[in-house]
Amino acid sequence: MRPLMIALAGAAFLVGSVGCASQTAIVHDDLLVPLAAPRKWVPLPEDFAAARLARAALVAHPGVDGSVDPDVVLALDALEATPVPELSPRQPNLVPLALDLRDATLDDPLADREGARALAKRWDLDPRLEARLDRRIGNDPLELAGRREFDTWERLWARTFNAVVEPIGSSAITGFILAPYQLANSLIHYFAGFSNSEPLSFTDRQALALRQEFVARHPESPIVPDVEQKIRRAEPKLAKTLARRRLRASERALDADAPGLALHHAQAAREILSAHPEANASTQRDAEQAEAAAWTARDAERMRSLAATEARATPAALRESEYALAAALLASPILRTEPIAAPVAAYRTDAAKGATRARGSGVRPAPDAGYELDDEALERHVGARLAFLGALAEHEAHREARSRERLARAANRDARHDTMVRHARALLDDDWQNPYGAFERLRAKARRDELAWRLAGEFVRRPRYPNLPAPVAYLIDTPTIAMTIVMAPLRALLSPFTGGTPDFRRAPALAGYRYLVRYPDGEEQRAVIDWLYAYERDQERWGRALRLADWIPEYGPEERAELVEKTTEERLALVDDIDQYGTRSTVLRGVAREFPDSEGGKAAGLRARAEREDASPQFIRITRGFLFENPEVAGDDGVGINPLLLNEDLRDGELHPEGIVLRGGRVLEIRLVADGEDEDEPYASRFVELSETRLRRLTATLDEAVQRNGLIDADSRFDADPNRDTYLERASLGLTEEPDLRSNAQSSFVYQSLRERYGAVRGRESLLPFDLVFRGSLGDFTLGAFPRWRPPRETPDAYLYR
Amino acid sequence: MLALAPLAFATMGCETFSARQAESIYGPSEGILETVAVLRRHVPDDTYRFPPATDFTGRNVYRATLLRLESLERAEAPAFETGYMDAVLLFAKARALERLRGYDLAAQHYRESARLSKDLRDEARASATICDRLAGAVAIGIDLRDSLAESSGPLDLDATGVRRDLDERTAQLSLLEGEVEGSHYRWIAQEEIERADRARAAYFVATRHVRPEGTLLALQELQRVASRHGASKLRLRHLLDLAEFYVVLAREYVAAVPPESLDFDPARFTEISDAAIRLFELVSSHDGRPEKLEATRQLEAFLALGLGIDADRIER
Repeated sequence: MRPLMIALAGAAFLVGSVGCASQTAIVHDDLLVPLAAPRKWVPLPEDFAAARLARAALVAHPGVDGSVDPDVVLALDALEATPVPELSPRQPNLVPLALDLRDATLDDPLADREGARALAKRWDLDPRLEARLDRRIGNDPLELAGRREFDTWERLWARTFNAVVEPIGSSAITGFILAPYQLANSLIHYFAGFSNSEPLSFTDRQALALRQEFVARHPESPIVPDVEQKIRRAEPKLAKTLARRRLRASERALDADAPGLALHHAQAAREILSAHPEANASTQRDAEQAEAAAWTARDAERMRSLAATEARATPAALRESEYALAAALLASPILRTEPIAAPVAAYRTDAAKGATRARGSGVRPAPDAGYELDDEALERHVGARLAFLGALAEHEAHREARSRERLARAANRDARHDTMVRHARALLDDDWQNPYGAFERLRAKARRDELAWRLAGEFVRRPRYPNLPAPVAYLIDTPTIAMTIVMAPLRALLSPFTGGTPDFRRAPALAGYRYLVRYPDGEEQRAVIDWLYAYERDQERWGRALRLADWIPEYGPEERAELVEKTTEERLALVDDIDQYGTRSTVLRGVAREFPDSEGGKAAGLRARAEREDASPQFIRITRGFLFENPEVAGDDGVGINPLLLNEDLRDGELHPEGIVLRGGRVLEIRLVADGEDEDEPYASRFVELSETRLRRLTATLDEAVQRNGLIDADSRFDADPNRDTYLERASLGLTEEPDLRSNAQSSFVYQSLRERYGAVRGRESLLPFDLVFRGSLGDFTLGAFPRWRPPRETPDAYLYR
Repeated sequence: MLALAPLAFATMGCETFSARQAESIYGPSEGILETVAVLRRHVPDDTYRFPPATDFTGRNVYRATLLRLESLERAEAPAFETGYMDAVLLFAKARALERLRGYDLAAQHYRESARLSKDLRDEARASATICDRLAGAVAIGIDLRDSLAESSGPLDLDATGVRRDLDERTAQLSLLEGEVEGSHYRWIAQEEIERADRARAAYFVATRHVRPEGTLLALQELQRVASRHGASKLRLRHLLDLAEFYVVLAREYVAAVPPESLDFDPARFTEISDAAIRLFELVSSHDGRPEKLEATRQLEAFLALGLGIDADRIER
């Protein structure tokens, strides 16, 4: 049943799609030329020689001395000696490729690389082989290690050069009057910058890893002792780098009052350093001190914790009444006045009696004696508990503001005299127990942070040299900080255009939402909603603003309609970035369903419908530019497009720049320039079903072209696309009868020509090692021109060495 | 004229893309020599200790070779239909297939190439025999499971039988490893032994809840894999597997005995979490390996688990 259903669906889709296409001015019916009969191909002696060499290479075993297998040598000699008819130089690259194959049989990457170096010197190599040889030569781990070490030095040179040249160039507008000051300032920063450097930079770490890999792969190589010596020199530096990071983490943890974490990092630092006990003496001392400091802090924290949780006995005079009050509170699930009125009164009476007795006895026991307090202490004790109880009662009566006020009063006492104070403070400080308090606290903090940031910029967070003592770090940055503060008004004026202002109100917004969740009918609900609404509007998060607006009863319908349109626009803008049809369709249908009365909702619905009508299992497009660039894909060996469609003459029909689209199964969409229109107008579609043979040819020539182009020009490589490759692989095997209809198996990849991807002139890296910079800054009123040395580019795997 | 000479000389080296394209169009024999050279270079590679090589697009070189041979066959169909390269194509595909665990297919290709070519006959027959033995060995016992596969049925709960089968598989592979010393099949046999050990560990992890001391047994099996394959390219993966298992244990413990409950034992939790943290930190200290990132992020995720636990219940 399933194949039948799929076939029916495919047929319906084809018919529907063809029906939708508009008429064009194609004057010929055949969009594709008939498949040509296979051309005759007779192997020549050179082909037989190549086959013999390939056979010999596949079973070759190098000699004990590393020499090439004699059979390979014989086969290669035979190939080189094969006479090539002058009129049919069909395969001019056979001999260089054969030499490369000979080197491949050496089973020794080092000798193979030497062979590649020798072969690369030949003048008759084609670009494809040249690229492969370059890649192999470039993959020498020791050379790469040297290159990475050189990068370290080049980076240092670039920093030094820029530290001198940039201030001189920037002071040009002042006639170099400020040059001495700017140069001195720059050099101070240059030297201070070394405090941020690590003993082993990430490029040196790359070099170390490459050398370690070389030793692991070639333990028998004669140069291994030299390489190991370099490894031994670098390893203690790596240990120092990692240990220092741990020590810094330990310091930060101590500052953040997390002594357990500080101890963990300090111990880890010592463990790292223990692998090289003879090296890094000062770092080892630092690690010992850090561990000792962490132990001390942890012990102190434990002592504090024990002291904070100390229990105090109830005063003897109140024991019975306090017990009765506690029992009444536990028995009453909701705090009401009647059940606890009597116990509270008894509690107050006992307190008054106890105070009289204490005054009468004339004895003044120590406050921490616990069971016998003086009258003042008794009053405090009772007052604190009743204040806490009052706050709870207000809270349960949904009078939040009064509850917070009473709790604040209870918390404003001296915590040393009464244990209830810490409970009141805990309730006030807890973000979930007191979300409105958190909201207000964080809002005030956000205002302070923003003001500080507007004044002092990034310096408010930390100095640029955190590894230097803080006073020195701030002293170095003093001129810059002063300038930043002076320029604060100007920066504030420019900030709407320059952007980059951090979102300081995110934390209070979170607390606000938390309040709404915790207290949906809370007293502060409206104030919080108003604040959140203003915040979300400022951030242009229209969907959220709309949800908040729905909580505001007097919100105007016009204003709401405007917000709805903005929300739909916001969501529809997201759709353009979604590649997969299924996900796109879900979003579009969601918008249409949620906002059916809005213009955006209608647009989403129409688009969802159009996409559904145009849906297909695949959407792999090959542009006309790509077909021009790779004529074998368009020609008889590939898809076989009628040449009249590619002759740039609109009178006899022409392929649209959009090209052709593989739509899954064996369906091909051919996009043509529409009747009477030009190339800039929308295309007209024609659908054809390819034969298995034609589809195989197309996928094979496409794969060949992509492979070849990728080898000869790195810019022409395409990004990986698993769905595209899977479809093409299946198509090349003829497995297209059952299209994969899962939306997440769809590819919408586009094969474009180089010109379409990069424009007429491709951006190339300058031959000069530096950029010429013209710089004007409104921030510090400088104008200048100077060369800036480019630091070496990071390798793509640099992130694995940080 | 003299001033223009250096410019003319410099531009001699600048070819257009289309010119380079034209120079790089290979004929059928050229295409085969290129592909065989790429493959042959990596046949002796020790893929047990080091990751398999990749081509310029970043694809596994054996898979890329297989696809390219298939593609060449179709693109140059008229040439290859003459059959002059059949034996080479078959043998090369077999060499690629055996590195992609397609042993039975590789054996077929070897036998066919042995039939077609005298030059390849001895090597192809020997390789076919080895591939047959590899195919026979890997068919014994259970394999790593694809839980999403429609055909994956319930696990066999007879641990003794599973262990016996996998021991048998390992024994056969070890025997083969000894016999093929000096050839690339040694690395293939080692990879298969490693896979059998992983399958065994995965089995005990999956069935730990239905057998006594199941968790301890699973832990032992994971530790066994890590210690037996310390030289493998997957050694960091084995350590990560072990660390992840500790994380699972920690999560299960927190779920079963919530930290706020009276039964929660901080020492027990610390014992598990310390082991996980140490393993993650060990893996994350290896430069240049993707597992480094995985370990770093997983460690962060695991530490985040502690944020929801009362401060006096765990060491932070």
